[in-house]
Amino acid sequence: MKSAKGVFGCLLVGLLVAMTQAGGPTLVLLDNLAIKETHSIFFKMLQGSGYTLTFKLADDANLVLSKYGEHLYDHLIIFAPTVEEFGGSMSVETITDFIDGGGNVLVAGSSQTGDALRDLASESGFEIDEVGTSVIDHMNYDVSDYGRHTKIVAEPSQLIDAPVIVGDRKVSPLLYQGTGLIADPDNPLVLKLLTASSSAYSYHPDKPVKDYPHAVGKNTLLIAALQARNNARVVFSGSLYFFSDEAFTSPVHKVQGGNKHEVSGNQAVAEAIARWVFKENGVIRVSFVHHHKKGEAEPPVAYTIMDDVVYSINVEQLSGDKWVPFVAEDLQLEFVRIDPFVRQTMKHVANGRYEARFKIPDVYGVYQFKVDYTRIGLTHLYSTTQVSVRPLQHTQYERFIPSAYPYYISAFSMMFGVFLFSIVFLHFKDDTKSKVE
Amino acid sequence: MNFFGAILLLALVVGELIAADVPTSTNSYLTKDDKLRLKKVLEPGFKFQDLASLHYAIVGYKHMKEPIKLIGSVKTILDKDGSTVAELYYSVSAMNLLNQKIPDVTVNKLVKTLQLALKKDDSPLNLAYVFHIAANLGSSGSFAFNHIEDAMVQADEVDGRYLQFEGGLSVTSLLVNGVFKLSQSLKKKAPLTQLQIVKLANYFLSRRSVQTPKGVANFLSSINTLATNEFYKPTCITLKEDGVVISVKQPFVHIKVCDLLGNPVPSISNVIANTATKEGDDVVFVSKKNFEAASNDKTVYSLNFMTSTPEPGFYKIAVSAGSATNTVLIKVLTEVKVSSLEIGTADADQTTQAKLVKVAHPEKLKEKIEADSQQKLVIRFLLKDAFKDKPMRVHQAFVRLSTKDSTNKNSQEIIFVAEPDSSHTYKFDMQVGAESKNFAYQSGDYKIELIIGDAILSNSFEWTLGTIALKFPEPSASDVADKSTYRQKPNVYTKKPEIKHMFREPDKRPPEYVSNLFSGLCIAPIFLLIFLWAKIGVNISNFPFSISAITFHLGLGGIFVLFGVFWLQLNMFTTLRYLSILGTITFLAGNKMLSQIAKNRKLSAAR
Repeated sequence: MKSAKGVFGCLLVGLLVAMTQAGGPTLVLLDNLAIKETHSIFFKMLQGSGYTLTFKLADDANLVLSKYGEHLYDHLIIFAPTVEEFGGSMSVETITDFIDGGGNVLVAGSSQTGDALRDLASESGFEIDEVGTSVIDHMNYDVSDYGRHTKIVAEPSQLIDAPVIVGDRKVSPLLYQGTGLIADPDNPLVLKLLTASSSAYSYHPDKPVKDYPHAVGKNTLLIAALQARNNARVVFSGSLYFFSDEAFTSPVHKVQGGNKHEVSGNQAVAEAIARWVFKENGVIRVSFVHHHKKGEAEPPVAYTIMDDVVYSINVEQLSGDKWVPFVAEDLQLEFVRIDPFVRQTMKHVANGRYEARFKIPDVYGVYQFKVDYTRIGLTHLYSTTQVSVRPLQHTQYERFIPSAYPYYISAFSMMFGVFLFSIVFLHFKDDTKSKVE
Repeated sequence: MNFFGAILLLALVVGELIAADVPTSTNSYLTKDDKLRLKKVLEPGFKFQDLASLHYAIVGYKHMKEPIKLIGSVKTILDKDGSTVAELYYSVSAMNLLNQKIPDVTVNKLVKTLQLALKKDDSPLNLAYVFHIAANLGSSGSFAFNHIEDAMVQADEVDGRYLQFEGGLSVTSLLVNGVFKLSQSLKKKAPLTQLQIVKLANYFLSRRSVQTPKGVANFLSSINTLATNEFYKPTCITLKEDGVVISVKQPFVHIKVCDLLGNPVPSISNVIANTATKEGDDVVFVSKKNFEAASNDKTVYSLNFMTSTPEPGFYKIAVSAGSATNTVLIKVLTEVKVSSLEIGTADADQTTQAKLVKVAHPEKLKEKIEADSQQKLVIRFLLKDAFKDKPMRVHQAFVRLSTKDSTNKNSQEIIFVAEPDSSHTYKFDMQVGAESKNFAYQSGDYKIELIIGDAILSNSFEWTLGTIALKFPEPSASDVADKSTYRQKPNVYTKKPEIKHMFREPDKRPPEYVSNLFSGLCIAPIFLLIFLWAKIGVNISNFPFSISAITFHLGLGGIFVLFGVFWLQLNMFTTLRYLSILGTITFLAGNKMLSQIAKNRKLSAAR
């Protein structure tokens, strides 16, 4: 019996290890354990894709995110809107450290978002509207909203145009209930995943509008994301409801001029967002870089100015556990010496292999082949290869310039003259002298 | 599904509002739609020979009083002394299912084992198992009855509305079922207060969205247990989904009073609205009004709320039915109409009277308004309740200015809030000059829209008033600086412009005939030399056919050829190497040749 148990245990551990490789250990922080059940479809989806979820209360006194400088989890889900202060050794600082260390975080707030999430949001470049405020839209609310028009219907066209993050935009409308987010429009790292419609605003639903609302119209963000410079991903949703079983299974019917949809698009979008934030989607890498002179195969020690050069790079994309070729039309190569001298779009040859051919500039120095590719939703691709470019050798300059022919001819005719003259001078036999003799 | 959602939302809304005054009824019940949906979850359990799903499917169907279509033949009973409480529970309940009597000796032994186990571990799960076993043991199970209170102490309260045990639905369900089964078998009232039962029922009902067959079975069995227990049956008082929103067209508040399973409660004869207060001012608006029972449905009671001409808004109604009370929230709707709207421009410094044009509601202003930085855009409007013809205020009264081309990605919108004065007239003034920064100094045509919205309006609307041509001043130097730094920031997510290197243009060269002419001039002297030599008749008759002479001249020629090769392909070092060899040979040969010549000359001179 014992040995059987042991074998089973081993199997279980093996299974766990296998799962860790696929999805990664994930810490889920909740306000109360009921959220685990009200959001079961979302969590089950994650578990089905191989994530090992560890459910903890957000104010659990034993919360640990990292031990001995190593992170215990790859990902963090915070479905605890009202938490004022995290328990244990967890704090906003440890979470920002976690993000700095490359961890991914998915956070959902509500109209009662607590201080802890508010601080975390401002660390990530967003701002959550005041406590008690909701996004209100009197034009686009669901029929099931008999109250204050806070259960709003967002059209898929309000999603960001980035299929890698939110999936196909041809889904049913989305249900949203919660607070609004504000982001600095100049922050290039913040992505507006879901914006509200023009008629929406974020305010206290039960108080008359006295001050200018913090978020009005399209400036109201419903779901925002941040991809940090270290490729760590953070998604903030102002609505915990967005991920709930109820939102996943509810029909959507906009009161003013909308068709009834049997099921909302929430599940598809939430799934896509989760896959993106936990780096299942939109992860690319450079697998191979090669450069050589045209007509050769190996890279030279140094290039000479005005050489024709061929640069090729292989880019791969993570799909499940495998790396597959990444195909895009807008990958650009720069040839940089402090400033880029050449920038050109690379041609996709085959299987994720891109090629650029160009003539090296007529200025020598130390250059870099640089591929710096940042696109919405994709990890930052950055590859540099340093090469030196030297001036022409003296034999490599142009010969037989027509305007220099007088010089060539005078030099060689002089040499020829010396040669002839030396023979004649040395061996001349003066006949006249002999005649005189 | 829609109905279900509505009820749930309502339950949430209502629940949040009345958390303070604890209701003594539940907010919802098990509808037919719920049952259908739950059946769908269970059905696969009969198809697949998965024991767990099959077990829960059977249990679930039994609770819904549905005929079981297929029963698997798999029924293996463990008839041995289980070591854990859970194993004991399974064996006892299995024997019970097969109607096998447990011998008294075993019962006594069992009771002792259980009491010992409880001393070790009295978690809700263990307690629940013990209750179930005890319920099957008849009177010998009375020892467990005292533990019910121990169990209830461990319940967690959530939001003051729900009562649950650690471990969620399955544990709570098992424990509640156990408690009621035990109290039933002992014919004693379980030591649970009515409030506790209501809270437990609320908890189970909040778990309606369970997705697993096991969860569904647990949910159904607990709801059944609570709905049919002999001691206290919770009553549900809730709004029917078509009775939440009250308006002139639909003046009735429909209340549904039923038990947890949606059946009428026979003991309740009249339903009373104790008070109705408008949210915000807490003034009692209606008191002690009877709801009328609907003729076709015994569970529905209605009240014409509009007879008392309420102001539009949210109302809390405290309803009591028998001993149960609850507070429901309803919404009285109205329609808004624009009584008057004027739009125009005025000078920013108020020197001249504003030029205002009236616009009727769905119409659009025909002419384009023009405003420059010295002027301001003025809109005045009055909103009226369409039924009462009284001025009213709304939650959202926004003016939206947007660039006309909405398909353009760079289209921008700027939204302003119109503010009402004491006479409820909304005023909107926009100083064009002062706002120019918000518009990024983008002069041009803007669409003016008025957005009027409120939760109590049935006709919130967006109304395009017309077009305005705004003319902004030139941005000041500091603004330009700000803007240019902003503009310079590259948009990192797009393709960058291509750069082609500009190669240096080669210098201009003289035409070819000039160089050819000079080439001819340069080569001329050597021909001239040969020609003149030929004329005077040069000879090399003194050439001594010695090795040294031939070597010297070949060497000298070789040096010149080497210079030629150096120019064509060799580099300096290889050239010097060759030159040193050639040079040495030529030097030695030249030396010998010259001394020979000198000797010959001497000889000939001597001769």
